[in-house]
Amino acid sequence: MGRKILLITTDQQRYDTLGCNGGRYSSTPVVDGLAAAGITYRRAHPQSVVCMPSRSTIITGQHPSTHGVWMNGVPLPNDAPSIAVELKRAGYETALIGKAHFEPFLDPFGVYTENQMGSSGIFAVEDDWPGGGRGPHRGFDHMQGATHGAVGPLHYSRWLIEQHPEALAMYYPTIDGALEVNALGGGDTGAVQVADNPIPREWYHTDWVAERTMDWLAEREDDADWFCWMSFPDPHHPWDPPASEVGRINWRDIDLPDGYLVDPSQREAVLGAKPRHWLDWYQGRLVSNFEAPFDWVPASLSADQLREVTAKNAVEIELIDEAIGRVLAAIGARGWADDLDVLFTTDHGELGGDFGLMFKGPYHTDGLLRLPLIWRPAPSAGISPAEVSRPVGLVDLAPTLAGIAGMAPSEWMQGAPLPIDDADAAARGFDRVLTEWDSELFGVDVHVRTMYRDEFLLSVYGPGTSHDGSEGELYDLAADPLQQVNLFDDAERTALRDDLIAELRANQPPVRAERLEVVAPV
Amino acid sequence: MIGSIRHQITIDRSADDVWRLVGDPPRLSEWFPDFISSTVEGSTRTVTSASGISIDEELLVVDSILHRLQYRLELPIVTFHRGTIDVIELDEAKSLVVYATDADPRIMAMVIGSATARALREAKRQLEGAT
Repeated sequence: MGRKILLITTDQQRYDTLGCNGGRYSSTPVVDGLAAAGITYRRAHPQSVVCMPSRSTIITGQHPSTHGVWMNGVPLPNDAPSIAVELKRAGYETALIGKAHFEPFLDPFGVYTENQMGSSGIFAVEDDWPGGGRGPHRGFDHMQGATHGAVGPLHYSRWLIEQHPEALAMYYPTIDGALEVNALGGGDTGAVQVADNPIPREWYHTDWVAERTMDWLAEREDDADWFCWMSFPDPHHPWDPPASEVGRINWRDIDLPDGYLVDPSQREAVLGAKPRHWLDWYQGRLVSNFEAPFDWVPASLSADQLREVTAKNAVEIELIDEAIGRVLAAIGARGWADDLDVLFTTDHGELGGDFGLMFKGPYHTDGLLRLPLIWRPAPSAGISPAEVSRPVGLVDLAPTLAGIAGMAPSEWMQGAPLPIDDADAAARGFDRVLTEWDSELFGVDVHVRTMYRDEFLLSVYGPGTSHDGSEGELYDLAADPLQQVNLFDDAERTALRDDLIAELRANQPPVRAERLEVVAPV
Repeated sequence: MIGSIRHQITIDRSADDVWRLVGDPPRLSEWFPDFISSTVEGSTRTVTSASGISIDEELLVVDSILHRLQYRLELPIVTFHRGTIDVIELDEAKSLVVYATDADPRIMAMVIGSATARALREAKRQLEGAT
């Protein structure tokens, strides 16, 4: 009998939303407890700041350039490498419950497997496996899908339709009638993607994901080796937690986030020193990507709207923390606690008011890049609690999972097993972490390559709609933790910048030979 | 807002050969992988997806001289659509097929357009594999 693995992911969660990371809005005692007993990574980055590429990195252990999901709307090929396949081959029972999103949501002809499974009410289909053979789709014996609301073909939506059809209209409509991300405002302040959701808590997707996880675990034999990816859709927008829970945090009591610049002229000055698309988006001249509402202008965001978004986001995070607590209690009741590894992270961050912006896009600063990542190794493994300050990435998750299962990383994995402390990280060369962005949407394209090392954050831009390829960003995070001073063109930093650029370019991952096609916006 | 998407592919067959497949409205389901059947009655083509969704399309232009086919699909969510297939002779044994999709909302142009790209690849596979 080996170690059991619970991989917990949320969606679009900032590093600074957990108590153990200095968060001041949510109470997160369960995840804080995992951090205290395990390893907390202080500088974990995604390899893409949007869902599909980042989730594809988690499952493949590859950078987006290599796995090929270069923007949202590009489906990960069914026979792509998968850590779940490797764990399945090693004898693990496997499940993914909640948000998968390796394939597009917008699928009117019902082409993609995740959507087909949901609409058909089945939990597994056989598929070709990477490296030969066949087995369950992407290696999961059980896939039970959910996303940010009630709409769509996934299992949660089907469940809601069958069990509680009156709840369908309670959620905020994430997508509007033109299939764009909705700019409709709500709540007390008219904030974008905020709504009062009368849905009972027990019908909300957070609790549904936890309940379905416990259902699946209850069916496992005591001596089974299992890998369960419990994937919460929150705290991604819309910010519409159950109304019964909203009273936990009064938005009027929210202190504005540190990264929010109250003075609009200061905000515009900071944005104006970054590459052009930052200020162009803020002022409503350019929407470069689908992930933010097309009809929403960030400059319209008021301080009170940001307070309300922040409060509702914090409520969603508390609900997740409590749901995790229930799942861990159920696991403990089975007598599995001593052999259980728990990993907690998210797929990418959220701008969350930084520079007056929200949502996500080609804006590679800490709001989107710096992620919560905690690994609580199985107590039976005897690994001491630690904090790791050296950089790691989501690309390191797949080899870590392999290692927990007693396997060497597969040759196609590009990361390495997560270090257990800084000495281990230094010895194994955890010096830098890379992130990339490519998007092409109705004639607008953006291309960014980013690297963090030694407390410097560097981004370089390729030629695109707003850029000629000479632009960049360089931040000294020790002196400027909020990344408000772009040093890229600072004459005194030219040598440093050029060294970092050379290192960034020298360490780019291999590019998939055949470019995969965008089939939907998300 | 209208979105406009264009996909194209070269096929190592004559324009007439290509047109006989892609320009013949009822043969759509032979080369358009997202549809399992296609029937034509008058100027209306009805296509059915593998998941059972049935869609009516109005045939607007079927021009065997220009090698141009245009149609409009009718879906409640699509307020405007025009699909255009042009088969262009490059030489006597090579053709360029251009498949354009214009739609409102623009997102549907992207989604429908991706299906047309799959269809072009399938047409090429069939035609270049045919003797």
